[in-house]
Parts: sequence; C-alpha cells; structure tokens
Amino acid sequence: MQRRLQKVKTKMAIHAHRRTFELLDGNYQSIHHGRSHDFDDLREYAPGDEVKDIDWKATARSTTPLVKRYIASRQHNVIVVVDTGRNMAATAESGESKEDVAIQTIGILSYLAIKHGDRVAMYAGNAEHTGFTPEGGSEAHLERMLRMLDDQISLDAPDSDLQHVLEQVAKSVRRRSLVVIVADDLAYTRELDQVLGRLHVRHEVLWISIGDADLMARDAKAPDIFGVAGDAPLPDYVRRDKRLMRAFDEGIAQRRRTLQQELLSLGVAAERIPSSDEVIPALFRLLERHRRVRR
Amino acid sequence: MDVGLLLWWWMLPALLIVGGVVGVLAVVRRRRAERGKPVAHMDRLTALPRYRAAFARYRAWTALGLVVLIVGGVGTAFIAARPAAVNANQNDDYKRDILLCLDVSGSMVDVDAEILGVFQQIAQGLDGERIGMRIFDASSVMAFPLTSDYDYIVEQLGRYQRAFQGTLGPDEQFSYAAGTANGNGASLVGDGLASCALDFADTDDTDRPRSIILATDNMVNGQQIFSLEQAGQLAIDNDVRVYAINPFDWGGDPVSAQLQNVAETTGGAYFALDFADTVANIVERVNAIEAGYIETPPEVQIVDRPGPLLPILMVLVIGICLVAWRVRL
Repeated sequence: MQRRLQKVKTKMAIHAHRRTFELLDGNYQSIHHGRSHDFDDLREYAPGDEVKDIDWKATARSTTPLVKRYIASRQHNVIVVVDTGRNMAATAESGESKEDVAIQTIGILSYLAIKHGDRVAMYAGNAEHTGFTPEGGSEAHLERMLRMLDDQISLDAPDSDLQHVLEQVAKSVRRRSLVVIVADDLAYTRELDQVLGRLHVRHEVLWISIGDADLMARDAKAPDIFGVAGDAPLPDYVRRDKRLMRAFDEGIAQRRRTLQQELLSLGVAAERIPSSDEVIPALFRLLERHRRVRR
Repeated sequence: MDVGLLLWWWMLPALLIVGGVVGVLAVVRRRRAERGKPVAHMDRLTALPRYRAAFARYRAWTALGLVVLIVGGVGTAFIAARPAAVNANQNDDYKRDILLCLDVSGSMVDVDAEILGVFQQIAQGLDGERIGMRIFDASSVMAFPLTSDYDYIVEQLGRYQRAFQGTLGPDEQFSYAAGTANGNGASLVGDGLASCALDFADTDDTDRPRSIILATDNMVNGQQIFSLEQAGQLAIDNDVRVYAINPFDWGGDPVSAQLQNVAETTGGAYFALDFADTVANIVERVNAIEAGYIETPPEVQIVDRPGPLLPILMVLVIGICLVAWRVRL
C-alpha cells in the first residue's frame, strides 16, 4: 500500500549518485544554536561546518578532517506547509501536475528527514480548511501524509490561500522547527512578507516554489488551458500575441526575482522546482543554500 | 410589372430560429467546457496592461466577426427563402401577322405612300411580327410576302413609297404599277381583298393574330370576280380581320357604307381618313384593337431574384474566414 512512498524511493534510486547519499547523510545545518553534549559520532568535515566542531584528535589520527556530531544536531522537527487549494492541482511548468511535483518534493524531503532521524509534521490547507498532521518519524506516517495530500488536492478543492495557512502555522507552532513551505509562482505581497518574518523569528524557513505552467502558446502544439480559479478563458489570439509574450516573460521573471530577493533579505533559502526530474537536484541546492544563508 | 415575394418564406424564420439556437448552444457549451490543461495564477498574465490591450483587440475582432456572421446568416436565410419576382407579362408574345393590302389606283397613291411611311417607322421597332404587302388595281401583285426580315421590309416599303410619290432615284428602274393592270377595269377591291385574304390560307400559324390593312376608296370600276362581301367572307374563313382606311368618305355614300360593313363583319374596323385623323393615328388605333385579340393568356413567370445578395454573401463568408483566421478561433 505504500505506493506513494515507493515512488519517492524509486526516484531516489534513479538519482542514487553521490549527492543523494550526501543528502542522506543529513548534511544540513543544525537548527539549534546551543549544543547538546550527547556525542553521537564522527563524520568527515564538509564545507560550512563550524571549525570549533572539528575533533582535532580524531583528525590527527585520520587523513581527513573529522567533525563531532551531537544528538541534538540530528533531532530536527520538520514542518511541511503546503497549499492544498485548487492551484496545486494545476499544471506545472514541465506539463506534469503540480500536485505530483509537490508530492514528490515533500516525499523526498520527508524521507530524507525520517532517515536522518527527524520527525515530520504537516500543515496542509486551503482557503476553507487547514489540516494538521502531527509529527511522526515512520514510513507509514509519511505514506499517510502523502496520501492525504493526494486526496485533498484536486480541481474541485477550495481556492488556494497559502497566506492563511502560514498565519495558522505562525500562530500555533511554538517549538523551534524547520518550516518547509511548498508554494508555487505566487505574487509576493506585503502580508506574505509579514507572516514570513514572524515565522522566521522563531523557525528556520525554507521556501520551495513549484513552477507554474506557461500561459502563452509559443508553438502550434501548445495545449488549450483554463484557469483553475474560474478565470475567464484565455483566447488563443491573446496567447499567441508576440509582444504580449515578451511582456509576460518579463513579468514572470520580475515576479520570481522579487520573490527571490525578498526571501533572501529575510534569510529564507528558496528554490524553484519546475518538474519532478528537478526535485532532487533542486532540493540539494536548497539545503546547500540553506546552510549558507546568514546565521 | 414585377411583384417581389419570398417563395419559401417559412425558411426565413426557420433558419433564423435554428441559427439562434445553434448560436446559444455554442455559447453555452463554450462556457461550460473547460478544455485543455488547468493552470494557476492567471494573474501572471491578466495583470499586465498589455494583456488588457490585447484582450480588447480580441474582443473587437470577435465582435466584428459576430456582426459579419449574423449579417451573413440573415442574408443566407433570406436567400434560402428564395426571393423571387412574379412577372405577368404578355407584351413579349405580341406577334401578329399584318398584310398591307393597298389599292394603287391613281386616286389612292398619296394615301398609300403615307401608310408606307408609317409602317416603315413601325417596322423598325418590331420584334417577331410579320409584315407582308400586296398591291392591287385591276389585278393584284404580291409586293413582298409575310416576313420578319425588317431590313428588307423597310427597304421595300421605302422603294414603294418613293415610287408612289414619284421620287425614285435616277438609277432605280422600278414601276409599282407593273402587273396590276391585267384585268377588266380598275380598282377591283373585291378581287384585291380576296387575294390578300387567301395569302393567309396557306400559313399554318393559326395562333398568330391576323390582320389586313386595306387602303381603298372602294370605287370599283369594272367586272370583279369576287364581290367585296365574298372577299370579306374569305377573310372570316381565314380568321383575318380587315381594317379599312378610306380617304374619300363623303359621309353616307353607299360604297363607304359597304366597305365599313364588310370591315366590321370580319371583326376589324373602318376608318375614314379626314382632316381630323392621320394615318399614324389610325395605325395606332388598329394596333390597340389588335392587342385585344392576342389569344395567349398572360403568362405568369416566377423568377428567382437573389439580386446582389449572393456576391455580398460571398464577400461576407470571406470576411468571416479572415476574422476567424485573425483571431485563431
């Protein structure tokens, strides 16, 4: 019955190169400023590790620098915040369903976290309803989470309202956590900036945008489209307008740039994932970036 | 005398209703159908000012296309209803046979020339009518038989007219009186009319109205084979009406009365040529009387008259195609 998780594992097996194993090593930074003294084990030094964590004696015995790992640095509380409104049932930039890309992303990220010994909770919501899945660390828990997402996200779902979900997270999550927000190509607003600021004060925040589909018809085979939010239909005449196409490209580039810059100024690492093939490299980049953003 | 009408008038409302229903269904189906891929964040496009401009252009094009479509649809429905004209016209079938039967005795020559002048003018405007000419004095001579070769008729009439008036050209060797004197006497009207009436005996076209224009003063001088009454009977037997023109009617003299009597017995008429009347007037009245004898019933013709609608519709269809191509429907 673990179909969705199986898909995630298969995907990771396909990408089972060095980077993935590195990810599995849990090579992301501790969310805790302080350190537990429960020494766990040693591992090789990686760029970004703090110098004071280096076990000099062990390093001297070995040929490579080794750093100490502590229990506390491994115990993360990951909270996935995901939009389950109608927007998520739309088409991704690659032509797949955004839902599939989102589930793939959340699945891989959560699987890594679980393997790492972390616990994963989830806030999945839309304009009408926000579902909270309490934290868990088992594969069955992960499978349940993914299945719930799959059930909730559909074209008949209520409207998307990530702002609302984020506000609930900011209100109700007290424990310091790693908050992974799975959104899409939305417009960066002042309200969003405020709630992200509030979240960032208490938590580590990661941002993942699932890339939205192109709205213009750039070649003869471009499929018909319709807006999930009950928008007026886009006539082909408009979708093939060359000058409008340029304006659109500038518009979305501007929108992404704004999002990137605003998130960066908050200290939030962000990555955009246009297709399910891009999930693993993008996640790797995201975690890498997260390690490096200002601390 | 055209009366416009729609042959299949019910096509007009029927097609308009069908077109309206199809249009409404198309709009409803288009509204309902969510074809293609679902996409989110349409505001990425719709918030752009350039989008609003492009959409307004699209609206204008589709509005234009819709107007052209509606106009074309109404036009098509109108053509489908077969606009036609009803034509009740009989002038086209006014094809008579007229035989000029002229007494060329010395006293009649001037009147004859006048009649020929009138008929030369008439002959130029004729179509389908046949004219023949026979002259008589003591004996009768066929000047030319019934024919519709109007050039020939005009030529012959002119030649005879000039001969009657004595204005023949120097190189014209022609005597109209040749062959008219082989008999006992002069101005044998009965024999003349009889030979004219018998000209019709051999023609088979019995549905063509037949008439003889008989110009004579009825001053018979000599022994004739047919009396005027017998000749009149021959005319009646051959369905010929005799229109007599008498330039010397003194009022109540027995010969004029006899001529009038015979002419009217055949169904024709009698005209005394005096100062009040001209030959042209008389011929016009004869024509008016003859018009009443046309036996073909007025033919009702129904002709489809799409008028300029078809080329206009073609242009409209091309227009619809162009607009559809432009907005990539």
